[in-house]
Formats: sequence, C-alpha cells, structure tokens
Amino acid sequence: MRQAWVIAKREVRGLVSSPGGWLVLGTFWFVAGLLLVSLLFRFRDGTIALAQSGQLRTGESGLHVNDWVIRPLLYNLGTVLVLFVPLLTMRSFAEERRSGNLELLLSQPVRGADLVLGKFFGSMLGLALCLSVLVVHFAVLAAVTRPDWGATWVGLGGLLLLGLLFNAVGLWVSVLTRSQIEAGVLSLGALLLLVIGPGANAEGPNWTQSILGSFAILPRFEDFTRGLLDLGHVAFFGGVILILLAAALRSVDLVRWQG
Amino acid sequence: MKSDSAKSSPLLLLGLFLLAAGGLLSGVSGPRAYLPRLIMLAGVASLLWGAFNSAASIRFLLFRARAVAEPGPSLNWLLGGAVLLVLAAGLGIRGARIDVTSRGVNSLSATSKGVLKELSRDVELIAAYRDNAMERDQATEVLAVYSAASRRVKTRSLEPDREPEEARRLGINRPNVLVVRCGEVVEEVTEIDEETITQTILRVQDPNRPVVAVLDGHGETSDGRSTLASLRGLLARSGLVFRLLRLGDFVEVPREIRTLIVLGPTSPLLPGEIEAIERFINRGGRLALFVEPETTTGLEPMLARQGILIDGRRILDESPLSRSLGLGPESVGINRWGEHPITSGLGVGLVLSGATRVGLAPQPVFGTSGTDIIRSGNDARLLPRSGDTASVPSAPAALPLGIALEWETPPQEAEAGPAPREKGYARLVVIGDSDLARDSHLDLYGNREFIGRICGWLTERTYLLRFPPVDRSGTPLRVGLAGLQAIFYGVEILVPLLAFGLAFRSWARRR
Amino acid sequence: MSEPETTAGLGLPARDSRAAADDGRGNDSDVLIRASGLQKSYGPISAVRDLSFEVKKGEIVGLLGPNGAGKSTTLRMLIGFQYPDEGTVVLDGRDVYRDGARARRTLGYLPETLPLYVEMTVREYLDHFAALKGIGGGRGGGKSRAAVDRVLGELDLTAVENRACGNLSRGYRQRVGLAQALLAEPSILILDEPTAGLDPNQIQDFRRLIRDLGRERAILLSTHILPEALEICDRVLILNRGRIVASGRPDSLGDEDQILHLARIRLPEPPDPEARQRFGLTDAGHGQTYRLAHDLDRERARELLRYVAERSGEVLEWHVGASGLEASFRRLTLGEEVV
Repeated sequence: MRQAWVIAKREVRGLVSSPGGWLVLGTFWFVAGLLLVSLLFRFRDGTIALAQSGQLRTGESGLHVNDWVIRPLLYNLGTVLVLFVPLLTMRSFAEERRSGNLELLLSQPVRGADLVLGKFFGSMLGLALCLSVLVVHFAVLAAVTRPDWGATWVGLGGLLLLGLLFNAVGLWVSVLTRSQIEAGVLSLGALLLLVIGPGANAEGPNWTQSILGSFAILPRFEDFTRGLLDLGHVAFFGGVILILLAAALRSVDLVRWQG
Repeated sequence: MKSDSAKSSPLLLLGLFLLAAGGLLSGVSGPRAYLPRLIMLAGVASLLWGAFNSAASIRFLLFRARAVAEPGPSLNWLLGGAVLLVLAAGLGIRGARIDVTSRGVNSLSATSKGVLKELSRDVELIAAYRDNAMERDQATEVLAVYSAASRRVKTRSLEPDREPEEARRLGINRPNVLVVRCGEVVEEVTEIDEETITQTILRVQDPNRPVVAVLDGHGETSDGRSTLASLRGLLARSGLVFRLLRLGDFVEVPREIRTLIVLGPTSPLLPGEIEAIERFINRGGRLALFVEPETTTGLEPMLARQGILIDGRRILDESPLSRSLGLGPESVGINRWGEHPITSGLGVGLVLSGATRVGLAPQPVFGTSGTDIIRSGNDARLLPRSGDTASVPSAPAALPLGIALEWETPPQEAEAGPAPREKGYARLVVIGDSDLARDSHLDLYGNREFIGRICGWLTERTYLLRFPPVDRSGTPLRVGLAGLQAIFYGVEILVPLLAFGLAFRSWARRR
Repeated sequence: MSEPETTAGLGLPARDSRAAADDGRGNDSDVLIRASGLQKSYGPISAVRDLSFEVKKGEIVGLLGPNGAGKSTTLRMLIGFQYPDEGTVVLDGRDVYRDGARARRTLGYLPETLPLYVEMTVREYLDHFAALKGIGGGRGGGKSRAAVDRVLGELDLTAVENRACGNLSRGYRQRVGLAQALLAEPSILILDEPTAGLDPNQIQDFRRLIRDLGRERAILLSTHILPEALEICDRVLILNRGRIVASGRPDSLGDEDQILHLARIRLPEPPDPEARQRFGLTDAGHGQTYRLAHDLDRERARELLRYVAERSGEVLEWHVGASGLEASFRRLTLGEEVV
C-alpha cells in the first residue's frame, strides 16, 4: 500500500511537470468555466424573465441556483469527463510498457496490486486536480447566490465517483496496449460504449433493456447531481470500479506472461 | 504472437462498439433497417475473432495464472466488486436513498408518505411515455421517488408504441400518460405532481366501490340512440360499479346507490320518480343530469329551486372552434371552463352535440354554491324552438352549458347498517347535452376525462387531502451584468490561462 | 564481433587473478540465484528451453549468446517480470513468482536501456526508487537519504545530483541506473548489457566497479562482448536458441581453441613447399617476408615458431586470437550440427 502511494505521487509529478498535462488541465478548466458562465447567464435571464412576468411576490426569486446552475454544471462535466479521462489515463500503463519502465518497476519489491492501485490513486489525484477548479466555481457561486451545499457536495461526490469509474476503465485499457494513442482512442471508445451502450437498444426486447438499463451509468450519476444520495448507486460505482481494477491487475499478469 | 492481448483487445472493444453503434442506429432508424443489422453482425464477428485470438490468454488467465504466479488480490477484488454489485441491486430494490437537498425536492411530503404507509394493496405506477416525450424523465424520477417510499408501490415504464399488446392489457389507451393501476382499476394521471398521483393512488386502491346508477325507462337506452358501453367501461375502470336503475319499480332510490345519472331522457319522469329523486338528493345523494334540448324531464322545477335554469332551446355555435371540428352543425366545441375541481387542469377540449343552455339563476339560492363549469364560444346562439316561427335566434354570446352545484343537507337520522360515507352534502351536475357521455362521443377529445371527473367529483373519489405547499423558493442572484462579466474573465480566461502558463513553463524548462 | 587482443606470447590467456569459485561445490546457502527448468515459448516459437543454473555468492556469471538467443527473456524471468510457462526461480531462498515482492528485495536490476523520468533530477529519481524499495520505511527519512548519498558517492554522481535525468549523458545514465540497482544494498545484481553504449574509459571504470561489487554479491550479467566476459566473469553461460550450450570458466572454454591467425615472418631463404603447405605461408611481397594463408592452432603455431628459429628467421608480426572463447562461441552458436 505504501508503494502504491509512492507510485501515485510519481504519477502526479509526471502530470504536473509535463506541458501536456497542464494543457489538458487548462482545457478542462476552460470548458468548465464556459459551462459555469453560460449557466449563470441563463440563470440570470430566467430570474429576470420570471420577475417581469409578475408571478413572484417581491423579494422572492423563484429559480434555484442548484436547479439552474449546479446540477447542469455537474452533469455536463460528467459527460465532458468522457473526453478528458482518456487523456489523463492513456499514459499510465501504455507509456510504461513502451519505455520499459514497467520492467524496472516490477523488478522492485512492488506487488502487481501496488502498481495497479498506485496508478489508480495517481489518476484519482489527477482527476482531483482537474475538478479542483470547481472550488473556484463554488466560491464564486457562494459570493453571488446561496447554493444548497448538501446537494452540491453530494453532486460533486457523484462526479468524483463517475470520474473514478472512468479512470478504472482507462487504466484497464491502458494495460492492454503499448501506445498511448491507441490507449487513448480505445478508452474513449470504451467510455462512449459504457455511456451510450445501455440506452442503445431501445428497439430491443424488454429483458435486455432492463438488464442493460441496470448498468446504465449516467442515470445513476444524475441522481447524485439532484442531491439524492442513493447508497445503492454508491455500491454500484464501488463494485464496478473494483471489478475493473481486478481486470486491470489480471491483465498485468497477462502482460507479464506474454512479455 | 508476441502479444495476444494487444491484438485481440482492440478487436473485442471494436466488436462491442459496433454492437452498440448498430443498436443505436436501429433505435434511430427502426427495427427493419438493413445497415444497423450489418453493423451489429460485424460487431459479433469482431467479438468472436477477438475471443478466438485471445483464447490462449483467456486460458492463461483462467487456469495457468494462479499456478504460475503469486496469487495476488485480484480474485478478492473481483469478489468484493461482485458483492457490492449485488448489494447495489438489493439497495436498488429496497431503496436506500437519502435526500440531502434542503428543499427536499427528491422526497415525498409527509402527507404522501403517510398515505403510502397505509396502503393495503399493491399499486402499480406505469409510465407509458414515448421515448421522445418531454415529461418522460420527470415521470421516471417521480416513479423512482414513489417506489422508494413504499414497497407496495411497483413501478414500470413501457413504450406504448413498441409494446401495444402489453399497453392494451394494462388498460393504456393513449401514449404519454402516467397510469395508476390496482387490480382491475386503472386511472390515468395527466399532471405529474405529487398531489395528483397520491390522490389517484388512494382512489384506485380503495376497496369500497361506490355504485353509480343510470336511470332507465324514459328512452335513455332506447333503440336508435348511441349505447352506453363506453360509459360502463369508464366507470368500471374508475373503480365504480355501473348499474341500470328503473326507478318506477321502487318507492325509494336504493340505499347503496350514492350517485344517480339521468342521461338524456326523451320522455318526462313520473311524479313519483321525481319525488324519490328529490328525497335522494336531500339526504345527500348525488345527481348528474344530462339533458337534451327541446325535451322536458320533469326535474326542472326542482332544479329551479336550487337556482339552476335549463333553457331547452337548441344552440347553434358559429365559433371557429366548433366549426373547425367538422362534426356537423349541431356540435359545440368547448375549451373554456370555470374554476372547479371537475375542470381544473382539464387539458383537452370537449365536444357536445345538440346542446342547450344550462345556467345559474342571477340570484344564487342561499346555502348553495354553484359554478358554471363549461361555456361555449362567443358566437353561440339559441335557436327558436321547432315550430316557433315567430322568434328569431338570440344574439351571439358565450353561453353556459353546464353547472356544478353543492349545498349542505340537514343531518339524517341514523339508519340501520353503516352510516353513509358521504358527508352531508348534496351534489348536482347538470350538463346541457347527453351525447357526450354516449359511445358516439365519449371518446372524442376530452369528453372521457370530463365525464370521469364528473363521476369522481360526485362520488367524492377526489380525496381532499391537505398537502403542504411545495417549497418553490429560489435563490437570489446578487450580481449584475458587470459582475457576471468579471466572473467570465475570471473563470473562463484567467484560470485556464494559469494552467496554460504552467504548461509553457514546464515546456520551457525541458528545453 | 570484438577486436582480438594482442598478447606477447602463446599459451598465456588473460586470466583473472582472483580465485574463482569452484563449480558445483560450496555450501548450498551460498546459492543466491537458482533457476530450474525454465521454459518459455511465444506461441509456436520456443524462446527458452529447460534452462537451469545457479549463481553463488561472490560469483560473477556472464550470460552470453547471440541476439535472439533468449538472454532478455531469461533475465526478465529471473527478475520475476515475466512469467515462465514452466520452472521456478529462487532468489536468496524466495520464489520470485510466488513471493515476488520479498524475493525482489534482495535484487538490484539494471535494464539494458534505462528508462528515466526525464523531468526528475538524479536525486529525486533515486529518492523515488528508495521509497519504492521501502528504504527507511519508504517515507524518505534519514535512512533513505543516507542510502541515496551513499550510492551517489559510490558512483561519482554527486556532481550531477541536481541535474535533470533527461539531460544526462549515456555514461551518467548508466551510472544512475546502477545507483538505482545498488540502493538497497542487494545481495543479487542482474545487469543487462551493462556496458553497452559506453566509451572505452567508462567501460573500464564500469568493469572495475562490477568486479568490486562482485566480491560479496552474486552478479549475473548478460553481454555479447566476449572480452568483457573474459575480463570480469568467473563463469560464463553460453545461450543459443533458448538452451545453455556451454558453461564454465571463460579461460577454460577458450584454452583448447587458441589460434594464431596472423603472422608475418622473414626467412633467409624461401621455405620448402612442404612447410609452405603445412603452415599455409604465402609471399607477403617484400623480399623474404611471408604471411599466413589460414589460421593455425596452438600446436602448429609452436611448430612454426620452431621452424623460424631453426632457419634463423625473424618474427615480424605475431597475432594470437586471444579469445578462444570467441571461437567456441562461434562454433557453439552458429552451426546447429555442432550442438
């Protein structure tokens, strides 16, 4: 476990000391800012329109910032993560395999599990860095309006869980390939599959819909953004992440077998 | 051969991707399209080829890996993950949801919770929405809230166009409704809000099924008139018992009858019948009277005493709405209603055929509260009675066509048996047309719902629960345009620039 | 192939003065690396076939073989990075596949091309590996700092400790790699082509360093530079097509195959045809000088010397293929029929 954190620290170092890492972060921050500002303008227009329609008593504002800004912001960032997580995770294993670092790492007194966990924690910290911009956003919102913090934190937690699940997918795909580009493209494909797949068989029979539907990820994530803490959803995300990590670890074994 | 997995894993992913893409396409282009099937076929082929390629890898992972290498925790992780998934499925059924919003937007009010806790029978909520319906997501969310609140409430969604057989079996006749079902009783909910849904649940699961009698014997069901099969079905599905009543045989309206419908008699009622009906009303009975123009029922004097005036002349409605219906000169289209539980939130207009004016007396009778619930368009005129050549049609106006009235009745002496459920109110609905409740017109536009609501109001199947007002409070936005622009510069330019600056710095360092 | 060494005389192969550990004897606990029955194939291609050997404490063993002989696969299996199809590797008494993390605690490994994290300084890089190896509890405390200082000093890296790894020369990189391998004071060192790409001075330094390190460690190094094996190895294993085709002390492998392959002699009078044919002498142009047409074995070379001495001739040039090892290497690895 200690080794896992050493590897995770090294992952974060690799991210913040490379120009590419900061480019990805900056782009994510830009997209997030774009979303926040457009939602704030929409919120303002809606509030003004409602006030002008005269349906409100004085001193009351009928629109809630959680409904109009925070919930769509978090939900949209969740879908944006589909594009950004592959950029964050594609390096992790593929690059190490290509450069021969995997060999060096595994000649250290490090277990395969430490390696996988380390990479996962590293990607988690990277994700946290990505989402750290939300602290700025929330500070802005706290200054200009009065958010419902309970719902906001639960939504943010949901976004983190979603990102972690995406990370686990990206890691696994990254184990299986030797080039970062291949890893990136394949994880993007896998994530798209994961996100649109369960809803894609609208024409299918009922039982496949209900089975696939229970694996739908975005509806569960949406519950978090609504300020609904469903322990079943938390267990679902945790279970899928664990299974993906187990698959990644098994795949590292496979790599060690195949050379 | 050096790396099986590197070759086969893209194949597997590609296969899955093609399958999903094909599924998506066929969802868009319909099940008969040719290309999506081809794509899905390619996906299956790719999956099979990938699996074939990685057969050695799979063998290794399944059998050899543990024999060769240190066990590692992957199996434990896998088991842990599986346990969590089972737990998630269990919690999904059981519902372990914590609403953390301060406004409680994701939970039911205490009133609904209390109602659901008392449920004694299973109630099924079915969202029958088309995939592209606007309210679909809202309905799904509401359903999730209800199913989490009580184990008695089962929910399901179905697409009525895709599963027409199933929809018909469940008693769903049109798309984009929320249906509440309990046993054979089915009710549609058109407005997705907590109050309506909870009231409907209460209604459908009530085992007491009031008897609604339709008076017969005065041409109501004579040959040549449209039959009442649809009305019978409508009542049954609203949890009411339909019965035809020939009052002439009785001295009194039977006790178990709470609601009486008089549906367009062509000949006047007998005086004994009229007296029986008056007694029935005075002890808190409910009466719906549908009158046809140019006929006399004999109930008019009694109604006049309560302040309801039936004109009797036929109406010719020249308003664009009625003409656009294209259902003949006698039809009257209605899309204006008064404030009343029967009509509130009624979405679709009504169609009457051969109507007459039913209005309130200018001076209301003391103790009664009446509402004219439906009105014609502005261009309706009353035609002279047939045979009357001296008169001319009246000036065009919006004419009242239906009245709902209620008043308190004196308390009744206790009878043997259970006391009547109704409170001491008499309720009366008079509509200036009877065709809208018959098979010919019941399924046109909003007629079915309108009749259903009349029966619901009369039988008091609208439960008058008190709901706390929904917290619609919003949050203020304490910033002007300039402030928003400052935010724009901050989060959209400054923050990303910071990151790009750091990117440049590390790039420069590497040089 | 490497340049042959020039020596003053025959029968004096370059020998390590140090006493090499005797084959097959010695106490069993001295065995630090034991590979038994290693098998590995990639699909139909079998890379390593039934490979078994041991390396004892204080022994430097060279793994020789042409490209594709299975050297890298063997080393990767030894460090536990790659799983074999069959067989086990025991490092200092611990199975490297079943108890990998602990087995590798006694191991220092230098890969052939060292992947470096380019943005880290040398010290940061070593700190990172000290933490991975769990030195000083992995928290970068005093113990880990001391270990890093020690290897920086041992490998003369103190001058560059704050340079980014990406800006190091090949020699320094290799030293950083070795420093990384030595951090935890391992009892086993496995080095993959340790001198590849170094300049001659660096090679000499490196060889001396390895010899020093080998005193109380077990060192296995792969190389295809035969003189290197001769110079620093106590024992060599020659690997071909995934099999050990020869093993033993490098000089013993070479002894019987010493050859004279270039000589220029001057004789007062032309040699008789019999001698000409016997030694393969050809005219070298200038008057009475002659040259060898083909290589001579040890015995023939002695005869030639005697022949020249009897006829009061002069030896102008005398090149001995000092690496008899090279000849056996060629013989063992080129023709399948020899095996």
